Amino acid sequence: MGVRVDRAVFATLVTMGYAVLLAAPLIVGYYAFSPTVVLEWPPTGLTLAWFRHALEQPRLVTGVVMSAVVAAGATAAALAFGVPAALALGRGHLPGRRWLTALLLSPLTLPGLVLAIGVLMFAVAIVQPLSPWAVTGGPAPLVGAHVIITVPWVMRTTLAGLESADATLEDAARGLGAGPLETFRLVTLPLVRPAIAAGAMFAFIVSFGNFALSLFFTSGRLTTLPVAIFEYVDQFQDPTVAAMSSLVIAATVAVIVVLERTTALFGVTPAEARRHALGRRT
Amino acid sequence: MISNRLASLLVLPAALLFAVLLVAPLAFVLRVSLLPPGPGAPLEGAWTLAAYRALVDPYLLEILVRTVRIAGLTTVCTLVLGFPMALALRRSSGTWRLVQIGLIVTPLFVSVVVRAYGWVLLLGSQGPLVSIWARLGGGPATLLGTETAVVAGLTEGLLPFMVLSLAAVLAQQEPDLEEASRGLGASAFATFCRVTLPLALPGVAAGSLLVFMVAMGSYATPALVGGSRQRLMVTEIYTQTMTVFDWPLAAALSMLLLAAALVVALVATRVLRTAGGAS
Repeated sequence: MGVRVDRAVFATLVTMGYAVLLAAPLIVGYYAFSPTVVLEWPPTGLTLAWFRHALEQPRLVTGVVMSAVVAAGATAAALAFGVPAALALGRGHLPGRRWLTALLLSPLTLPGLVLAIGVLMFAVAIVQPLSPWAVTGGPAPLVGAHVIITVPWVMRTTLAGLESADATLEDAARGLGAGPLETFRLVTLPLVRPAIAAGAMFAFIVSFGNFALSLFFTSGRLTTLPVAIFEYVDQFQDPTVAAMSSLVIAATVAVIVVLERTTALFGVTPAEARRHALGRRT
Repeated sequence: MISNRLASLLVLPAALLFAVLLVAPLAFVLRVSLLPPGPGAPLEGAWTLAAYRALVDPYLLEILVRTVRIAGLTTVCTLVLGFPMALALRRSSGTWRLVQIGLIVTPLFVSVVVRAYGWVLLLGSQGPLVSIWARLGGGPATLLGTETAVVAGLTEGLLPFMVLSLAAVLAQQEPDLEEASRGLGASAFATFCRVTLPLALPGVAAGSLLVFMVAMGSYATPALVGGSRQRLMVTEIYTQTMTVFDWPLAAALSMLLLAAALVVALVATRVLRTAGGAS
């Protein structure tokens, strides 16, 4: 008897938690199909008109393109800077590597706003006067700020991947005469690739959805999707933004699902890991 | 293992990048915060602590207190709501477990603006909550613009962080301990208080730290859901930077925000270390 009550109470608590978690995205999805501007229940119908309207808004569409371009650039930079750094810190014995790691991971916990203010003030007051071409008002500060928040994601997952990858395999390869680059390419990389891919995915999505940084660097010509959505919501009260957001949510879910299938994002069983490490040569 | 020379070469680009994009800018912000404040203040001048008058000015002090209060409430709410979810996650397996992980993680990748907008719909004058309340007789015209609304929006946004932090620590616990406690006759609640919770304290501390710091620094949710009636540190910093152009004041407020976050981080790390040592 006591157990049943316990279970019921527990189930209720868990449901409440999930309700709070999912209420907002669900209602956005629901509103996107609403035939009326006013939220109504039960719904009198479904319509795709708002999706068409959303895709006709120049600011929203530019925002999507801009966000995608900035996110792609920031992710590429994060990979270029972050993977070597993770290798150095995860497989090396540099003095002060704990401080370096903390520094490179710090943007994950620092308030984004402070990072943005820093880049903005620095760009306006120090970089611009010294530079022969226009820095502020262009995409450079925006991309730079985004790179600061993407590098930690790639680093963090890559470091975790390096930690769980068996370092003795690399030592064996080196012992057999392989150089560091060869060892990396043939031994380390296949083992760590899922972790790097996960980091890249997180980096892209975090950059795409970022608001706090982009807010300080957008202008008439330059805007990202979250900022465009924010501005639209300020002016209009219709489901257009809900439609655009639903498209983004759907795309995000699709990307996560695809990546989970191909890179075992959320964990691998030991058997799968062994198969993966041995590669397709066996 | 990699030689120190190779390691230095590999880490150098990232280190330089961060020096230029993070360390130097923050140092510059510190410098700006020590300039004389004022609307449109110039970026050079005498060294002064005048901009830190936030510690004395009642208007700014109220903003700081409100920010800390909202961040604290958010942390408590995520803890209360998140613990059952973490327990449920820990006890599940297979597909059901994957579904739960998916449900918890996916909202993290939906832009914060979109999630805050969902709360605008939920709590607005046309939203379901207001209509249900009105049908029961009475209730306010809108639930937006209140501190509760901001806490709700932030709680939803940060719940995944808390759940994942807790779940990670719970995963390391021996399930036999709980079973033993129940076997000896303790109720579920008593087991939770005496066995599960104390062992999970490192996760509680880690999760609370993360939630608190992100809540302190969030802009989109308070701006959309709280509006101009809920002024927080972050919105004030934005106004001072982009509208009033009192950059020394904005810089000082940023430094205060950063300091508050770091203090909380230090305290939480201390708690983590003693809690980890005790168990």
